[in-house]
Amino acid sequence: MLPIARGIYGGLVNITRNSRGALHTASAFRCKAETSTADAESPEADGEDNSSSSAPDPKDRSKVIPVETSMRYLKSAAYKQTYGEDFVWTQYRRNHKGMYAPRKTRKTCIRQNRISTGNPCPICRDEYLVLDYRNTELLEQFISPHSGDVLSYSKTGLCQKTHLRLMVAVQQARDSGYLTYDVPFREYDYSEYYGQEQKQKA
Amino acid sequence: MHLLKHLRQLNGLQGLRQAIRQVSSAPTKPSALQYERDPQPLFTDAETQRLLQSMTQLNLDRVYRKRTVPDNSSETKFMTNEQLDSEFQDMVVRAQHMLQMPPIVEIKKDVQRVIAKDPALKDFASTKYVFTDITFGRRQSERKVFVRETDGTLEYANLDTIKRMNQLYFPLEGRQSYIPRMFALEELLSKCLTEHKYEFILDRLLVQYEPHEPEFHNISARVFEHLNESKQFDLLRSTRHFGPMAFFYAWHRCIDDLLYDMIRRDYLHNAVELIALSYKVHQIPVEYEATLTELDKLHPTPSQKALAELRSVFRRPEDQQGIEQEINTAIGKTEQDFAADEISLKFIEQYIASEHSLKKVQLELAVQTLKEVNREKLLLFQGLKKAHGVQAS
Amino acid sequence: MNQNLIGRLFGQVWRANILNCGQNSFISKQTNALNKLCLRNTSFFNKLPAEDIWRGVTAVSNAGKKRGRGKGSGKKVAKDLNKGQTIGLGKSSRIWPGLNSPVIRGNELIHQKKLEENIDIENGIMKFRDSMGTFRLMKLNPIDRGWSGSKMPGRSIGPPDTVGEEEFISFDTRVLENKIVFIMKGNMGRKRRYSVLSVTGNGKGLAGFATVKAAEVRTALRKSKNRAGQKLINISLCENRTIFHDFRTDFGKTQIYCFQKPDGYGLVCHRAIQTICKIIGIRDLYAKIEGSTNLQHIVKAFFIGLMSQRSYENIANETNINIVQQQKTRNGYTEVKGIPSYNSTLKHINQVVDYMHFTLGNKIVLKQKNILPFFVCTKGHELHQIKAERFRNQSNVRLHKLVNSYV
Repeated sequence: MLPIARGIYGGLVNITRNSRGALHTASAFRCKAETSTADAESPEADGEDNSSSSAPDPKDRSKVIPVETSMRYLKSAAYKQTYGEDFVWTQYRRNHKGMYAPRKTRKTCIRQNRISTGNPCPICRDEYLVLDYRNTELLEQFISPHSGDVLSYSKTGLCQKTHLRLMVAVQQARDSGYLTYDVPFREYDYSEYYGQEQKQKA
Repeated sequence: MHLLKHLRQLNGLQGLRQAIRQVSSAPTKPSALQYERDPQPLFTDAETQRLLQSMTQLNLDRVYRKRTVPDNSSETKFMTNEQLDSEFQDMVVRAQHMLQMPPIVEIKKDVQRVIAKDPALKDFASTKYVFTDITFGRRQSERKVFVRETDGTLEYANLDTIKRMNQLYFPLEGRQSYIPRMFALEELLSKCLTEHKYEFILDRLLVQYEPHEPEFHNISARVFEHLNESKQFDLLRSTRHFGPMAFFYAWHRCIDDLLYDMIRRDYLHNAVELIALSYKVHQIPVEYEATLTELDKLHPTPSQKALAELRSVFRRPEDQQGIEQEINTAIGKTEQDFAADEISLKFIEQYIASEHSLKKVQLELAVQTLKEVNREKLLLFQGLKKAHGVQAS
Repeated sequence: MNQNLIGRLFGQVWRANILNCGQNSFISKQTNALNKLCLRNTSFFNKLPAEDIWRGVTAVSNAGKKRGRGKGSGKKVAKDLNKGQTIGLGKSSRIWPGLNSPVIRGNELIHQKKLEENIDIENGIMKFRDSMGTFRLMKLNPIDRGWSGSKMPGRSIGPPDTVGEEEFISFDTRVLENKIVFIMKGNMGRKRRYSVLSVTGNGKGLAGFATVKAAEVRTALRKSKNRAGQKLINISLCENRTIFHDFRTDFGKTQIYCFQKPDGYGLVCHRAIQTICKIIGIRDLYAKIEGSTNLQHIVKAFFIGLMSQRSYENIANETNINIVQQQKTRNGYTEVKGIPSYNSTLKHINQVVDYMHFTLGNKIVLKQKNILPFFVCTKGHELHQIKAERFRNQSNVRLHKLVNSYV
């Protein structure tokens, strides 16, 4: 689907060290993720892909990807090859002038259904990562195991819009029981329920 | 008394409307098993409580499991032996507090209590007026809430309104002003159940609902029923929900699966207690108190056991007692345990033989295997003792 | 009174005019004379080639270069558009006598003439440009960046080379310092060398560091990497992620206070200490440097501190008191970390010392006063706070609304 990109990135993988180069292949593998469900990933299948379709705009985000596809993608070999064992945001670095990054990240990466920046945030750059309350595997990557909070955008590098969507998705997932969390302890005053005479007895 | 006028535009607030819509879709369908009479007196009985607490057990690692907190720092301290010992005792007390069982009471019926009817006030306003007493320090159950209807009637507010007002002025941490989707939608609840998130559901239930609400009874009954089918009783052991669960099974005469689980895990002491509880609940004329007192002499209570486990750090390895301890830990049982097992096995077999047990074959098989394992262990135990030259007392 | 004023004003103007006239005439006379004297027909403009002139405009002087000016100039341009073009051939093809054709052919005088459109030439140029390819600067992957862009400090230079049979598997080396040093030689004068300090380790508690000087950067890097591999030190880690206890360490005028931190805290310390910790495998640490921040001293002090750590058991034996740890994640669960081996024979010390004081060697970290920003006590800030108070819960409300609208 992306003949040029695949050619360049294929070379890049060889040049850059191990997994680091692989990150840039995200877009290349993205296309595979769809086909991989239909048939096994083989070089022949890729070749057919290349000849049949003209190169689509890699920055186009007008197509809506259903959550189920995203959930399948997170379990696929293509995802594994792109991100390895890391979270989707671990290998992402913000570009900024000077020593310290600006306090807030950019407002949005996608404007008018197109990526409007050269370094889109970890969720925006891979269109097969869909934020939804059912996609727990993705949401868990953005939750701190120690505090149980959603990680800050200063750590994950998400753009403001995506971060808001993430917060919404996490709260919805918790509300509907997809994600568990530690419920605050409720202390009972027995006398409220059993009446005074029971309290004296106990 | 400080009375505060509270105006609610019932029709105007979108959130409230949503809540109402969700109420209608809540799984209010009553579960098959309900407490047909008030279970509270039996549940709060001192002996029942003791049995339930003993069955719950006290695994400190489980009670003090890792939780998410805003600040996960830890503090390192120097402590003398005396300080450490008092700290251990304190820890056990706190653990017991964390295992506080939620109350089991019957469902409260909503009754309309009209104070005054003032037809003159009809159409005075297009909305209801709710008056809430927000005096500081008053109990939630004693808080007075009144409603002036649009037709001029002044009456006591219904339970739903009282709960909402209480939550509004004295919010309970973790309680939602709307019904969580997990409880509102049937498929989400069953999804949670199939994923065995029992503790999470029950924890959330406690926070969201009061024990006298029908939803509380329905959902907890559903969880316990599902648990009885999936037989993952160990997930609730050492949590505050184990007691109510055992009580529920005893009440509804379906203790056999739990009993089987207890025998399989070699918690014979608990199995005896469970049977005794069911006898007590259904007032079956079987003498169980003698067995229980006998067992209690041989068995420490869960809190004593936990404290002893904590104190084991003080033990010096080179003692004579150390060898005996070592044998005990290698086998997993002491002499007293073997004696207790004998008594309890007798009691359990008696139960299986009676007409009260429903899954006789399964239980008998479990008891037989346990007996064999126990016999081997006893032989090994005696052999080891002889080899080490420890006096059999 | 009016008359008087006007008269005074006029007087001033008149006087100024006279002065100006005199000056102007003098200057104009002088310039005229100069112009006549030196008339130049040659200048750098027609003596020097174009390349030199451009360089004169865009380049930086030698002195400026030393100060780091003009780093952007002189780099290769993306594409040289002049290549493949010939003078006189443009978009509309014409004959320009004297430019792209002779003026007289035979006896005929050639006139300006328009030829038919020729697309081939332009296409040829475009093709040539395409074939040049885009030239890009070699860009560093963001992950591989050092402390400051593509500078060496903070960057990885791979594991040390194999020595005989010994292979350095899963090792990584990072440069901490790369600088030019000079020494005086009898016959050579100022001799310049490159000094490199690097640290190598396997992320599981083995690490070493070395400073090496060499005439070239590359050799210095290689040598320092290999020598660091020869000086490995074993550092035991607490729970495979942090240090065993808080400690204070120093080397020269550099003092470092290091603090044990809970899981997930991260490395909050000087960048050199961060890099060393990553190499060793420490993931949670807070460190504060007091005094000099000389890099060599920081590295040495930190390693000394790491090596002088004691286990819980050792501290317990030394003080004859139990050591416990209370974790907030486990709701204050008290975990016994160390118990003195010969117990209760000795009566305990009268005053139980504070654990942190003990581990820090009775030193206290200098706590500086937190200086509030300048605007805090101003009127404008107060007004801003009053205005902003109304919206303090807005983001929460917005989030809540979004949460309750499920798709």
